[in-house]
Amino acid sequence: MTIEAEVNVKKMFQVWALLVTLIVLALVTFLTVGGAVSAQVALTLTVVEWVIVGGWFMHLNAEPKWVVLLLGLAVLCLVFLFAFSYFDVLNDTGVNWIRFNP
Amino acid sequence: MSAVAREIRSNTGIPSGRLAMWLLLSGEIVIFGGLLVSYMMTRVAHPEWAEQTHHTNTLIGGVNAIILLTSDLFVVMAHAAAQKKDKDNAVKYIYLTIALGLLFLCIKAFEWTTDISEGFTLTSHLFWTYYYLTTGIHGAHIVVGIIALFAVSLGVKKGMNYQRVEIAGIYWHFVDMVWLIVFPLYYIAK
Repeated sequence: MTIEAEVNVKKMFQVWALLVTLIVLALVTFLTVGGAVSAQVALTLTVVEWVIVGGWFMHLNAEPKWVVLLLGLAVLCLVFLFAFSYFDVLNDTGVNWIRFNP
Repeated sequence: MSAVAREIRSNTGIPSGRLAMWLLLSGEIVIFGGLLVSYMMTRVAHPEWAEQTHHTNTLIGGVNAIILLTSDLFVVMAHAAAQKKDKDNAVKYIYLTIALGLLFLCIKAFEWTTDISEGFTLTSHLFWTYYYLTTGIHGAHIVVGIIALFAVSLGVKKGMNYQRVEIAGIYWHFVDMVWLIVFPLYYIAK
């Protein structure tokens, strides 16, 4: 037997309301402040939204820890993939390449 | 959150279908992550792209985010109904989720049509290549989600395979999570 999260509909409504509020907050920040600040705020709010959607809607908080580790491993693969090329790609010249139109 | 016991068919501690979905999603993380991180890196290297990003419609992006979040709520309610083996409500909420998915696609089609009519095509600038590629792949995932949810509803209608509602729901939530990062990257970071 295993454990499956039982859905609490009232709580899910509250979670949904919170998520919509965060989206509206990102929009309001964009419309009032704008620029790099609004982008930073929106990206931070996205991380919060991910945690909420993953934890509550996808019930990751009720899954075995290794499921979270499996998803984390996929993210780690991405980090490695880009970490090795990041400093090369951002230059006008790199290892065996030159930017066509710097 | 309380918990209920449920029959399983694998040695991993979770049902096989859900295990398969988590494995699929770990692959999807690399697909979408690769695309989005590569966009972020290129965008950081090209501040002049601000000229192009200015033309995306932030309000439409925000409305679409709210539509997908609402569809998330409906799929959760379908799951709640499926847990109680309430097939009528489960099917009703699955259909509502599908309807919102279709609404998302209609709004996206309107947005694309407007962008293209204004001359922003796949080949007009690298930013638009990224934009159409990312939103296009995401849209394709929405279409797959709609088909999967409809297929699940056919079984639930017959009072079978209630557990599939949760599995399709996990996929649907993931597709929504992708939009939650697409929105700030393409519609707010200008």
